[in-house]
Amino acid sequence: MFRLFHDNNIDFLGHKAVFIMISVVLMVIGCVGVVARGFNLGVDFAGGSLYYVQFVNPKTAPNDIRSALSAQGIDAQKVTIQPISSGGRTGVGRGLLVRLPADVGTVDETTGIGNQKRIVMKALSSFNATQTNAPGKSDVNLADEAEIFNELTLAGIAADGGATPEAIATAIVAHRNSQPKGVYATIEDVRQAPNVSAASADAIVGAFYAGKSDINQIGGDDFLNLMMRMDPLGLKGDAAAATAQYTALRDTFIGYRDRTLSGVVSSIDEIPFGEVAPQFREAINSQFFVGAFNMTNAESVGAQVGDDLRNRAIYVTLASLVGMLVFIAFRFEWIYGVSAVLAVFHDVPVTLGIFALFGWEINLTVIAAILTLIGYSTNDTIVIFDRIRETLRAQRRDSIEKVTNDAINATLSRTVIASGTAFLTVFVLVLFGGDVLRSFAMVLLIGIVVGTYSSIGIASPIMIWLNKRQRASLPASVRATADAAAAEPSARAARTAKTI
Amino acid sequence: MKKNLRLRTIFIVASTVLAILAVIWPFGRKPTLADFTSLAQMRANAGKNIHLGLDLKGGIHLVMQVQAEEAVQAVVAADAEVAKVKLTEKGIPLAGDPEVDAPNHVIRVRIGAPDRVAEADTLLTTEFNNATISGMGWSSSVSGDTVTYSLANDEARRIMESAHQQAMNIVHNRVDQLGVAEPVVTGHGAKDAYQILLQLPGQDDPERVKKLLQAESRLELRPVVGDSRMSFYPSVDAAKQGGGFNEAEHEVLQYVGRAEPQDKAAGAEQPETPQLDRFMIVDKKSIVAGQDLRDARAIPDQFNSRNYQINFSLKPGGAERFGAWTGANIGKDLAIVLNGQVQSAPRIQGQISDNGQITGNFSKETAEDLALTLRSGALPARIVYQEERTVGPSLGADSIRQGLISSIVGLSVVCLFLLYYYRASGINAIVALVLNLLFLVAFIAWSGAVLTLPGIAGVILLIGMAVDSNVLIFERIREELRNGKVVRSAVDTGFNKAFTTIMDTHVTTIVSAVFLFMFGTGPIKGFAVTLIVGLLANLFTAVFVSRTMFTWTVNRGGRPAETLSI
Repeated sequence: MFRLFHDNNIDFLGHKAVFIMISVVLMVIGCVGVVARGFNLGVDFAGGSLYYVQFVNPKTAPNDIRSALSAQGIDAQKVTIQPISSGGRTGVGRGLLVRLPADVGTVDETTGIGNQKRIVMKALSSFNATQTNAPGKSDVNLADEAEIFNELTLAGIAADGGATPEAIATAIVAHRNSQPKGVYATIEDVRQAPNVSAASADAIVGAFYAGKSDINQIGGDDFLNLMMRMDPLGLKGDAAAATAQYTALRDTFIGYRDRTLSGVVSSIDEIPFGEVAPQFREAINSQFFVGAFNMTNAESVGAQVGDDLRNRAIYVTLASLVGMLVFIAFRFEWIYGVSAVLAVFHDVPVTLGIFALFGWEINLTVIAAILTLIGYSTNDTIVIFDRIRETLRAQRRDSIEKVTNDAINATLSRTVIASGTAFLTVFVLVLFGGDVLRSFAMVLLIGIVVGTYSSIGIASPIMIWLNKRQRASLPASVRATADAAAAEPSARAARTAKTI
Repeated sequence: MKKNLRLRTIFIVASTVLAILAVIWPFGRKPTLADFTSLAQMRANAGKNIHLGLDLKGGIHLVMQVQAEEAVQAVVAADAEVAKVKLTEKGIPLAGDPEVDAPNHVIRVRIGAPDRVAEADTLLTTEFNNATISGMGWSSSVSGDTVTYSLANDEARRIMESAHQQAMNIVHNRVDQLGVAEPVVTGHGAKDAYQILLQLPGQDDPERVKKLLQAESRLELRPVVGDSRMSFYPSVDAAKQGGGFNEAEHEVLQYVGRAEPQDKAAGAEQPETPQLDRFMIVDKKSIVAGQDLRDARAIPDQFNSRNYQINFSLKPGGAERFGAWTGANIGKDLAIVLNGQVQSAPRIQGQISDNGQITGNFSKETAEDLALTLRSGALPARIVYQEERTVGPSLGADSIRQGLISSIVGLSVVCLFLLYYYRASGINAIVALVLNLLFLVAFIAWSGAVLTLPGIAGVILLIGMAVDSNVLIFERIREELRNGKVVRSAVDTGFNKAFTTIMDTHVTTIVSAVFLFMFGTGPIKGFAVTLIVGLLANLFTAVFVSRTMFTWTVNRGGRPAETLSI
């Protein structure tokens, strides 16, 4: 059989001093990282906004965005912009990640997320060659009754000539849908709707426009509804066929734009609708223009929530560590629990310190990774402690140092194989996992190394040190009893083992 | 031993089949043959059963905070108005308007006539407390000509909780108008944060959603035309032709409430689901609207505590109008209309001005629903958005694809290593690992739990620990073999000794995961769930399944094997 180690007998505890040196150096590096660079907290914890914007033009430069944002009164110095990988796709334009700290832009509410997104969207729309003639308004041809009703009530229309806003909204939608093409050509058409007073029509004209929509920003549902209404294929007679046909075309379009590409098309003609009547493309061309960008993902977190999320993450982690300590103390002895938890306490700052040093971002995903690393590290420590307990039972005469050393040696090949395979899995994740998983994988990669090392180099020496202190504080006559007590839980464990 | 082995094998095969079924079963409809023969169909079913989180599927995630303190201050301000009206009604003179100290929830009333201070005190204390949730909460103290009323903190907290609940209900109602599949509306964060989490899968325009939440729901109390409650009209047209309908003044609305007790008395069955073919004629003009209502509560009937009734109170202006109408229309029906649908149509038994009751054979739930409807006109307090995330479908698709590719590559590398290092026994480890993942996926599919990115993090820790369990066992068996034990005894001892360690590592991790589940927020909870379930499955696969496979190998050919490929 292939063996990693042959009767190895490495004196790990003899090199205690080396381990402590290494740990001190690592912790110092970590502290220097934290002090010198500080944590790069993601929007989850620091608040602010993060936007994934996909541009049609592959030459779009971060500075173009900065100047567009400056034009909207945003301090461009505070904005971070970095490229996003295209996820292996080609010919998809350029993806940029735009991050705004919490204190940029005017804030609506002291505790809320403010209006950063509106400002950024306004700035980005300056990239569109075809401007809609009504910035800030939405397309009446995409609106449903609920939206029109909302605009009416927001305009203060409670009842208009006896009709409720709901009835007015229904009337407008019915009128629009009964137009020859199922859409209004201009927003003024709304004034022709029956039973709609001038006041209601004014409210609609103030809130909507009618014209072309951006093919890169339209949602799948809106696209489907619009096509069903316009019905360029003339399928109205057969409702089932119409639904099936237009749904298939919608899926083709959305699939192409958002999955084959990264969220933007550079022309309407390139969308692979396949064999479809020319009237369909005509309808699309009449109703859409190709915008310069699409904001595919957006995250905004209020500063106060960020603080809450961070505090909760810390409390929850501490609570789970206490739970772990109590359980290990119950299964072994309290000194084992304390040692295991202290070893984990050593791993987390070292890993976080390395993050600070390299300026990697800490977000909720990284917290999940840290929880995972705590799991790995404790797992390693318990395997060694378990072996110590077992050996202690068999070789009562040996010193605790020898027993511990033997235990580490006996489990060494398991430690190397288990950590090695875990390392491999995570390494693959770093290579192929993509942007979202990369920070997560990096924590684990570092964490597995640090965690494995700490179970051998930190947890065991602490346990021995605590063990000696405990014995020294007991009178000689009690020591023998204490030894017996230490072995007691193992007897219970051995009984459980038989039940399988 | 043989029989035992057969039992174990049957158990393993049965649970594997069950797990596969849980993944591919077409939940919610009758299975057809194609569900189990067509690979594409099985894939589609599995895709439907495994619910992906917003971070993987795309959609809108909004966290909002109800400014609940505002609701309390609104109650205080409204009560100050009530004080003015009530005192004027009784002819007790006021020295200036009641003074409101909103942040401290205090009202100070200065009475103009010193001899009537005590009378005013009793009157207002009763009046204020009648309108509270608990029937008490206001306490008063008199000093000179001034009565100071202060609201107890307990009652303030109850008002805030109720505002939170009410806001959640309103958000729910309005989101329903969007027609989104599987929307999530729940409380969020700490209890005293009064946050609401709203998740809308597949949606991409948060501005539209926010606008929808900003608009008011329309709650109106409108007169019912005729006695339509005895016989609902089956359709709009039937109602229009049924007589008494007048296009200019009336409209036909759908009735979506419960069957009224009268229906029951007439022998009709209480329907489980709202019927869609019940319409009634109501007046176009409303008597009072949502903003005229002060409060509505479900409280137990004083004679029969199994029955519930709804107590509601109106603001001064609305009370006047309502009193006039109800006084003139005793015996007629009143439609409670929410967003154009009739929720209930109680009969007027007497004149009601500021405080009224709706009685009937209400259960606790139906009474609470109706009270909630009456309170659902406007948001009880402002909503502040604290978190807004829009995840496009492409990022989620990327994460899934890249996560899947790396998991498969990673697992393959690990499997190859296990085969190389442990030879034939490596197969045991691989079978155990694959079964473990299958059981985890089966749980996710069967329970409807949502798989998120942190959940995948849990899976990666799980794979690490699952491989570790096998390595622990195999290394122990090797050790025993090196110590000269025969194969069968080496396998037995190896499993027994490793079992203690495996139990300890697993239970420790499960204990800490349970803490994460109990106190963690959404994403951390997802991590904890996959970890807990996966580790429990691993105890079964790495120990029970793997051991069965070893026993099977060792006893192959009818006699104990002399060598073991490990």
